Amino acid sequence: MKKRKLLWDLLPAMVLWLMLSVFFWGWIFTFLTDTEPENKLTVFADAAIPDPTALAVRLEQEVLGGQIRMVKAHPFTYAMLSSEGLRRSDVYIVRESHLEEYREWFAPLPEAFAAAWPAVRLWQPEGVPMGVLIWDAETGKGAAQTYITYSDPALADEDCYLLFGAASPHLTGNPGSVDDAALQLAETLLSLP
Amino acid sequence: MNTYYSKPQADRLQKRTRLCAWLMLLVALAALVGCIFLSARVNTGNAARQLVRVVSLSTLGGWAVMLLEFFVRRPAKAQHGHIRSVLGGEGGQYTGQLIVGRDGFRIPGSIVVRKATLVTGEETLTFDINAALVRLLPPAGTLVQVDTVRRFITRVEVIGHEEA
Repeated sequence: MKKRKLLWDLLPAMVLWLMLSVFFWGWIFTFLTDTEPENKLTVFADAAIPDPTALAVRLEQEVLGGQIRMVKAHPFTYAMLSSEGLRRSDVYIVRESHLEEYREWFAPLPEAFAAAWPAVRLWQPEGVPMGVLIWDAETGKGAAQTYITYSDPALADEDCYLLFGAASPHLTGNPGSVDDAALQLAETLLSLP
Repeated sequence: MNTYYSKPQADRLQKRTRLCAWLMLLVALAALVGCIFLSARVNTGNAARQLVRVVSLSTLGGWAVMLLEFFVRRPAKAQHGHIRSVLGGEGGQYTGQLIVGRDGFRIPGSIVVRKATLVTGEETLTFDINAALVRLLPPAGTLVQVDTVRRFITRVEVIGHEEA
């Protein structure tokens, strides 16, 4: 009985220790699972990503190396508390109706990249190529459909485009650019089933 | 005859206290090293799983240390401290029937004791007894000879069964 009472008295301390463990290691893991923008590639999609980890792991198989240590893939809803991370994304996948709304976030398509996809429809506001069609609403066909759900039952289907971030450090021509890894990321995305 | 206080007993308890302290340190270090090892193996694909493993290891390690502290080390340390304080003191020897009270109280920073009443032919004497030793006593009503040091019963010898 005495030992049971002592155990009961210890219970609050044990629960407190559990909470401290969760908070402390959760905090540590925020550093372990993130890094500087120069060492990671980020893709934000204006669509649902059922398993962002699976997409990130798949992309890492192709683009890890050099300065790139990790890839992060998120839906736009991931950034609901702050748009800072969203603005600094390397690659975007955006619904056609939102392209003008977020236009200031996008960089023009590199000429070599646009030339590498001649058969693909481009989004060219005022004649400047900025986006590459990644999902055609009319045919229901597109890239990375295994990982990204372009159709939303609550919304009408519309084309989705892949674009490059104007603040990405992984695109030549952007301020503070360190490499061209965003191109490799985009090519990998466009080639995913 | 039961001698409840002796230097070998005190030494055993001190050794248990020290071993337990080392065991606690070992468990804490093992948990910490394990958590660091698991954290070093984090990648994009396994981050969520590794976090669960790390939190589980950290929690279980902490709980193990707490249980060792409160169920093993502290009681052993308290008993050792009490025995050391009693040993070497002066006391007396009395004969009578021993009756132990039901309620105990904790000496701050030390052991739990219970009141014990010794009914001799001429008088009724009150002593203290380590609550952990009560189960070793002969049944109430047994005629016993007790040694005491600083009002603690340190030895009980059964003489017979006789009504006072």
